[in-house]
Amino acid sequence: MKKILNKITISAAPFLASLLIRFLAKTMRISYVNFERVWDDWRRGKNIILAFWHGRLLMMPIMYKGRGVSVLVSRHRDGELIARTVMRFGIDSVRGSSTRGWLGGVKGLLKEWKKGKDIAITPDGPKGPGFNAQMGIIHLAKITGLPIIPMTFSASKKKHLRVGTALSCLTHFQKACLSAATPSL
Amino acid sequence: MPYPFSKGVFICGDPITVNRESTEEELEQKRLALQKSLLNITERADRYFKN
Repeated sequence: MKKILNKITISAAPFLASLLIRFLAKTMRISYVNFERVWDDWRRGKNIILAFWHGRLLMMPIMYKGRGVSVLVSRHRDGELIARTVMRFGIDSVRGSSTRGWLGGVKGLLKEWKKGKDIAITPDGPKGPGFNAQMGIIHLAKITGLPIIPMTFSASKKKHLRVGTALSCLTHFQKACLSAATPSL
Repeated sequence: MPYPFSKGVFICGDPITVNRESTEEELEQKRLALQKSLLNITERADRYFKN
């Protein structure tokens, strides 16, 4: 039973998350500050490394207007859910970790860069410490010569949720739906 | 998580480039510069709608 739930979560939560992100994007009025350089790079096909705190990750898929990007996500379950969510926005991902030794994800990211893609990294990683940039992204910028563009998002009205919390809410929601729909389970 | 029908803002910081010949110390400076930039723009974004 747990296995089935897990499977459903892994496939349904990213779908629900992508619906939520699209719904928010549709209903919100969104401004872009200091984006001229990034838009120009995208227009000319010049690659960049995007950097944002893990806590500001949610709305990032709707901001991306370049020719292709690959994001570094953890090897854990949260990483899998994030990878599957961003996939629905045409964003690829590389599994690795920016916190536990930067070498893990770097190889995969270099491969993506060689394919001509931008790279996106949360330099504080999923596990934290929050708001503390790890060294991996700096090494990556050194090797590739690509500029790092710091980026962030905020809203006039919001609720502070950790990504893990949001995902577990979705899981509970599904459990509730599932038990309502199939009482015999 | 933002509320539906609220206002949102994306903010970019200035680009940070890392020289291929950087020393360990210079790399650490770039790491701190990135961290500072992210903290600054995030604080700015959080204040953006409060004025």
